[in-house]
Amino acid sequence: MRRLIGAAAAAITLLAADISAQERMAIITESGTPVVVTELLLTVGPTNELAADAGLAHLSARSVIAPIQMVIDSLGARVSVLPQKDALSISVIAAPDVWEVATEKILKAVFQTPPDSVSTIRQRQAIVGELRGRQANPADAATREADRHFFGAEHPWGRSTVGTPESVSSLSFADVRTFTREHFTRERARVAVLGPVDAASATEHLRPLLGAVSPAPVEVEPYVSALNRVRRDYNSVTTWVSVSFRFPESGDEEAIRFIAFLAGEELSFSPSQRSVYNVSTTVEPRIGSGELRLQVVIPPEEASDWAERVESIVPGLLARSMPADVFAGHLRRYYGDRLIKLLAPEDRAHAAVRQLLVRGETDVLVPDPTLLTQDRIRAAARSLARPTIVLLGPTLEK
Amino acid sequence: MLASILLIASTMVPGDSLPFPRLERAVSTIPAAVVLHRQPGLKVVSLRLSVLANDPPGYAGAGHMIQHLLYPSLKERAARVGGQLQMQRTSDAIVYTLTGPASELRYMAQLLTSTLSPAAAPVDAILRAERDLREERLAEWETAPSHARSTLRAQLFPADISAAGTDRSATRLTASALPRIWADLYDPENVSVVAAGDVYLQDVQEAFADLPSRSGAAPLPISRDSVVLGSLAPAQATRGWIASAYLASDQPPAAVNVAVRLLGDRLRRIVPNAQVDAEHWWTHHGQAAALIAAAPQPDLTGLRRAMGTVVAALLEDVSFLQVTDAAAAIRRELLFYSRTPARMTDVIGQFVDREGDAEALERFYNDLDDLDDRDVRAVLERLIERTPARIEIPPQTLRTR
Repeated sequence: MRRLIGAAAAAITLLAADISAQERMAIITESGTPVVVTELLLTVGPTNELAADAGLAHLSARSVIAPIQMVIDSLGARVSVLPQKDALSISVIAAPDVWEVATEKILKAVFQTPPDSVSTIRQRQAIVGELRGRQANPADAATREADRHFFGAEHPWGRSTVGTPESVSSLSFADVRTFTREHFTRERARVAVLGPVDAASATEHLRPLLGAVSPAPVEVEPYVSALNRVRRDYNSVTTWVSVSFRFPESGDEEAIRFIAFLAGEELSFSPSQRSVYNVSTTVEPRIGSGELRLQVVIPPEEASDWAERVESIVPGLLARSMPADVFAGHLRRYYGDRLIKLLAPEDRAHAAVRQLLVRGETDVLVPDPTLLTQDRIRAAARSLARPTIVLLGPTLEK
Repeated sequence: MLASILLIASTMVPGDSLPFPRLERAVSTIPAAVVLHRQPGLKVVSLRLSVLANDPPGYAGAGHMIQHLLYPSLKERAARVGGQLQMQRTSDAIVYTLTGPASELRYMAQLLTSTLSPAAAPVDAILRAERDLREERLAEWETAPSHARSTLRAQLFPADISAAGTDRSATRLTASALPRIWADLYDPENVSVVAAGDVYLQDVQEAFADLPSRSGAAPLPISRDSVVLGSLAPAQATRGWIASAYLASDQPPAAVNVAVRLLGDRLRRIVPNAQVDAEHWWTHHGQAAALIAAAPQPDLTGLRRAMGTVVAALLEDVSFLQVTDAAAAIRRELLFYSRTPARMTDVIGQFVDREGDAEALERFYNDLDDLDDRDVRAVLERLIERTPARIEIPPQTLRTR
């Protein structure tokens, strides 16, 4: 059996330690939604793994779900596992008449039933196959490099949350059994239920399954981001520029999302900007601090220019003031775009349970956009730290 | 204007274990029938506007071409409010679906209403749309599964010409002809609006109160279609494909739907190496049960035999439990599929377009709950009596010198 936690735990800082009063459940009643989504968030991930065991949390989650997959299928429900840096999500979508049964099966599988060896080995093979299939994917490589330099190569979050083919291949059934016993515990759980449910009866249903325990403190290791521009050689026909800004836990999340939206609009393909192949923006609030990441895919010969361009977006926002009608136009588009991203109930349940984790409570998922002002945007831009810039692509200069 | 609005709140069948979410409907003096599924979870609304129309004879593809002409401008205008636009030409209707903030209901309704009075298109736009339609026509025949579907549909429903039209009709879709064609196929009485989201029925009705009226249509010079029964292109296939489809227009849709599902499940069990799609085709032209399957060369004989006997084999041992399980699964899948507002409007809208009746979806949904094995047997017996449309596409082989 491997040493799992001892070494890793030494460097961990316990943040939000006094959270015994924190609510662990969010029940969101939506009368017209045709399905019920239950999202279980376990505060377990790379922080609880050794570097050599990267991907253990993900494999463990899939191994406990696999044996009951057929039962879930027979109920017409869907289950999926999403590993994140600071937590692991297990999402169940079920019809209103079977959501309680489906959720009960999943929660019992996670907290009570030890994984079986056959499922573990099959899942390990499946994950290794998936990882090998994606090794040549430049998008994955760009994310890996950006993570490594934003969080630091030695930081658990600097590693891939799903591990590598080598690390996952080396994991044994005993590793998974020990990991689930030690980490898949009710103290680490937060749950959001969203759909046509009665809040009181949903709470009654979940309470015994989650147990009367206080939430465990969330383990977050402080990280130091690279501040020099990083270039990584990669055999592809495009270059991927990732620019990651850290923002404080108390940062204005909605204003930062608007900044990401403005950046996305400014960097996107247009008749005057024909060389942009793709643009993506993400905002990840986490306990301790959050991250705004901008990523553009461009021709390799324009890499340096684009890195400067992306980096200059935030200072640009601080330097200028938009005419009121232009700002209102952006805000109108932003609000629609923000809502569209939450159209699926599983996305809303995920957003709600993330709020529960980071803020300790759930709030309106999309606040009133009219409350966003240019002053708020500038204040949010000022709260962003100096970015980590990573360029991944072929080296052209000699 | 809206004085004679009759608001009906649908009720569930007593004892129904899995009700479909409540729909609100309005039958009003405004031309469009309006159906609302109120979903206050998120401040968005999805609006689906459909115009029931067959392309005029001789001008197949006209409705879809007009959609192509309008699409770039609609998409750009939808983006101003962060909205998402989809367009669809079904066998029943010309459909636009727009999803965006509920606070933009009026703007979105105006945008959709503008599709009912399409402006004259410049020649370059016509040429682009013509090219897009040609690509769509060829794509329908290019790969083996779509080739099989097109062939079977042409045999079962010859009047249901491809939404992309035909090469012959495309030559008639000119800039000068399109306004006359639109005048021929548009009638405000055939417009339906389905909304899902955080809005109220009365607001939706008011937003769509001003639909353009029908203009006097000059007669079109051509009045018949040349039906194409042959394929437009050879199919690409790396495996062998066998497909068959049975006409089932006179059968109850819920029973056909369950029968199709059971046929697919059975076929997958008998030939585990095969890829099987079992489909219930249902438009205002009629219904059919279609089985489309592919298998590697060594399994083709087994697949052929299984396809030929699967209806009889199922008829022999279909059980009550199988039927009720399949019906429950279909009901749950319907709920799962319609979990976003746009898909909810799509599901409701398809029933409204096809049946012309806002209660059709709930009827179908409740019929599923009442089914037993006798209903499915009746469908299977009728299928056995009929000769199915059939096509077989052999796998392509490399020629060696």
